[in-house]
Amino acid sequence: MAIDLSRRELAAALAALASAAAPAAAQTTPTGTPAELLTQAKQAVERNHDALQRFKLDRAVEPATRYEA
Amino acid sequence: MDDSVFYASISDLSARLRKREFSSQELTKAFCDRLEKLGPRYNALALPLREHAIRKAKDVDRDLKKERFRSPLQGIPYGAKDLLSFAGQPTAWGAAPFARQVLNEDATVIKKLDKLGAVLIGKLAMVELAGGPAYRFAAASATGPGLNPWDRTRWSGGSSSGSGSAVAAGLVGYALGSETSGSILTPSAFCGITGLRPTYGLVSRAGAMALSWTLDKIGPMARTAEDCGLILQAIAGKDGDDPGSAGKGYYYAPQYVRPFSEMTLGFHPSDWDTHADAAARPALQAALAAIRGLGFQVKEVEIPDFPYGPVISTILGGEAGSIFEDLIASGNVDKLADAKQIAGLKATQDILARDYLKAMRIRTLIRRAFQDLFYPVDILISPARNGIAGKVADPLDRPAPGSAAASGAPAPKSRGLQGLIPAANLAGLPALCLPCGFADKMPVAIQLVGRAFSENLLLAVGRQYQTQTDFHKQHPPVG
Repeated sequence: MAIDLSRRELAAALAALASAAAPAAAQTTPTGTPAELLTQAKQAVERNHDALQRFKLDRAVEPATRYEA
Repeated sequence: MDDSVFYASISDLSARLRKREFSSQELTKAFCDRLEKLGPRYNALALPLREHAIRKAKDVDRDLKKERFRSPLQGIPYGAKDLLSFAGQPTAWGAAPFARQVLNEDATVIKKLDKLGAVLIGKLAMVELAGGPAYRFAAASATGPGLNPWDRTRWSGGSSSGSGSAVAAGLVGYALGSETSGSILTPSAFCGITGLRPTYGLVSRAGAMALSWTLDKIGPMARTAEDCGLILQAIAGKDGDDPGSAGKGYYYAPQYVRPFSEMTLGFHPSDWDTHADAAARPALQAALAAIRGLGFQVKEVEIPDFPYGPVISTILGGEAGSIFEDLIASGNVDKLADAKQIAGLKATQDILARDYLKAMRIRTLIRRAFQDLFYPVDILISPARNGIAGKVADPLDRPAPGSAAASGAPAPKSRGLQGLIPAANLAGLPALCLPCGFADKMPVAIQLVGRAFSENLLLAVGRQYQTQTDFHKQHPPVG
């Protein structure tokens, strides 16, 4: 498929996307410092680890290699 | 052009194009005007493609004049989630670090639609990186929070946020979205449109941003179940460029499914009278009664007991952590909008290989359990979401104010079919979201989940339901 859209259109689109990023970032209100959020995220990984550990599996069960039932 | 055109079904638009009531160019210009004017109101538009669209529509009009009919989608304008590549134009994945990314090949689904004469008029906004691994606020997007056309103070849902709001507001004839765990169903439910998550592997992901190789699906978001069937027929099929391709095609033929009276609908009462938010219950319960009234036998079932949350978080996080390893290592991840998402992506680097494998081993059991569950039942039905879209500023990782979960009431004794979205995604099963009414003037919806590759059955039920109801025809006051 031939795509020959104008450079003007491309430049306008890139500029629009770039300018849209700043206000979006400003609207986000983190409930914690980046370090605190990282700690929370790592704790979530640990909680998932613990939950998986509690689930007992027969040794013969292999990882899924098909992803539809 | 009459406003009803913007809310017409694919079949209706196709018939009117063939009767020359209007040309594809006229239709395309009208939709482009509307998308460009109103799309920003909902933060739904990532990239207008007017010049391309009008050129394409001219080609289609030449074909229609010569009666070269290629598909019901021929000449109809549509939008694609900005996770799908369109050669030579920015494909930003909703994320500031990729704002200047230009890919050199169209996604397979876009190529397929192009061959059939579909007219791509714009890329639609999305949650950055399709929301992986998790985000806290609706504003997690380079284009701002997805705003719901039914009430712009509320979220459109994600991660296919622009696809949901653009279809609901009549800015496109239909849209493509994607789902890893809920990203088609949630915006479809919140925006009051019909959305189909296909079976894993039925639709090629080549040219789509990968968030999770073993979970990602691409599917239609449209006005009706029939529209979803027509779109799925166009985009499904074997693709050597997608290692996850199931190698199967799809033909929309709902007329060939067995009579509903020979089939069994699985449901659990607690989903409808306890888990669902009180305001949403009347509409949801009426929908359950209507679907039961189509003649199905019914059976109470519960979702198999597995730790779906930790399993899907570990698989999605593990795969996303590998896919975005460079983004994380370079520090560019810090340019994302959502601080929780930034932290979550960094933390994926801590996921252990043995945890990923354990999760994938549990997934083997989940697949088997769903195969067993679908032995006595043909379709599962549950609320698509327990309530309406939350306020844009509300954190998404806490129960919405006023919801059943936030009420402080003791947790229901039965798990019902709660968790069906992550569970059915882990099992790769198809799901159809059908709008079924309103609560507090906002849409609510049900989901039907079927066996792998049972899309025709789900769509047959959806089509029948939509002959008896008009919720899919209602649209927000836009203008």
